[in-house]
Amino acid sequence: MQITIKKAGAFTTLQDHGRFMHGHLGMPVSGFMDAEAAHLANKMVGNQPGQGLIEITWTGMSFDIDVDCSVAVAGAEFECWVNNKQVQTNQVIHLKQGDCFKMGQLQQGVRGYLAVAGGFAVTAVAGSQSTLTVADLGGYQGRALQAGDQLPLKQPHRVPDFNKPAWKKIQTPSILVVRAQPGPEISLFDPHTIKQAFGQAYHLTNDCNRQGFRLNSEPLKYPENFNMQSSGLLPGSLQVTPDGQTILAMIDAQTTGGYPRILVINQDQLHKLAQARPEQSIYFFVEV
Amino acid sequence: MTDDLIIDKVVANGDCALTLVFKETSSRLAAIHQLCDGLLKHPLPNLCNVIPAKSDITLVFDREIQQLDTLIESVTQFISELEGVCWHPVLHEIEVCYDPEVAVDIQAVSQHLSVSVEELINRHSQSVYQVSMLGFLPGFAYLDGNDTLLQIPRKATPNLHVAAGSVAIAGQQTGIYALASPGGWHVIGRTPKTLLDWHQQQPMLYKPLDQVRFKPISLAAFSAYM
Repeated sequence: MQITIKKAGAFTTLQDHGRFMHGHLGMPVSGFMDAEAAHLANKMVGNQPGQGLIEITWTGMSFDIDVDCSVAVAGAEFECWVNNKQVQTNQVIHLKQGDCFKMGQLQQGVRGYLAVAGGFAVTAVAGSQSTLTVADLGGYQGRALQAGDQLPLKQPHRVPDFNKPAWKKIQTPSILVVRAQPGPEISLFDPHTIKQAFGQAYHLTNDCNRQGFRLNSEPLKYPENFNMQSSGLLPGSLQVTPDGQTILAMIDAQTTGGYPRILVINQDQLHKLAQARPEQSIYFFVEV
Repeated sequence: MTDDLIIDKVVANGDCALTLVFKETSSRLAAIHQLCDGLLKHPLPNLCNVIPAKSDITLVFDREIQQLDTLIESVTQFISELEGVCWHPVLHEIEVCYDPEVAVDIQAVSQHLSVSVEELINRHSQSVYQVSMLGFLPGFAYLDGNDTLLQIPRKATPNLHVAAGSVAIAGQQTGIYALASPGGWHVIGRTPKTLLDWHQQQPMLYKPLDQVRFKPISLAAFSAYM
């Protein structure tokens, strides 16, 4: 009862709802980058929303399965094949013992989620199956999946058909608007800089991973004589570095940080960033 | 106990978290860690993480904070009911190699502070530090007690890769990176010691309020250790 990875893709990890009540030890929460998509994939195969599944980033994966089992894909849109026959991803995919499942070209979004009915039989670390690669912790041997890895399945089974609503398909609009709150250090910035921060476009750079996204924008004016003590950092915090650029903390973010946070995006908006692409203009929007 | 934790400010930290900043009192740090302990044992409803820091504590909830007044009232109540706990700080001696080969920023720091490398090493290894908090990433320790001559602001642009075991300074603090990670502090040394072992019941070498002293070792000793 397992799947054997044939091609792993650029960065494919096991993730679940995340690791909580360990922040005091410096433990990032981790878990799904796009929780909405992950919940949908799990729902399609009858799993609990927070159950462990596979997160695929930018490039697809392929695997063989040695048991009959239903799977579902949500989030980023990839072309998918079973035994070289293309299948639709808007419904549950029923695999049979010996089938080969393959993901090809990425069409929309960045991160795809593959849930298997019954989940994976992988030991939880600190209450979670999520992989935290920076700490070699959780998931499958604490690392991204590689060709040849054998992931044991917990309770593989076949589930009834379930269609993904068409409106849940990932889109890539040219402008991405994300709701946010003023950050803990907002009072250190001058009014002009605050206006700029909430009015200007930001773009992803090449330094974007589960820990954080380095963004590119017109530089923000860094507060003068600033030297703060590190304190609790939430995913979604926009930290301004002394060069005026920003780092948006993501789900594997460190638990504490010392750069001033001009804004923090609402936690229910984090999933949008998980599918953001470099060509999109990101705006942070605050309701006042 | 309540005298040690007086809320100075309540700062919103996104829509699901609060940071409570406390007034400076003699035992504020110990009291913050004690509050953290208490909240972990008896969590408030919907609390999903507690992050203690030097002068504040961040409470993270699994949903949007709706009734701030009620929440602050329950936290205040919680603080007033905290019982005294005895802390038993342990002094850890950690071997550090200050050779520029592994201490990538030591020469730049020495120039910036106009202190010779030798003097820098002496001053850094003579202080006894206190672990004020764990954070950043698993195993990272924030140590208080940098010599007044060794205070330098964080880097303008953080490095994408800081080696595991790096000992770095910023402001009044020294930090120990148990894991390789990005980082914005100035690396002035590196320890060969394993600081984090998930197979141990207590995975981290140190806990908050413990003390640390650094013992300089040569590059040869460092390499032999590795």
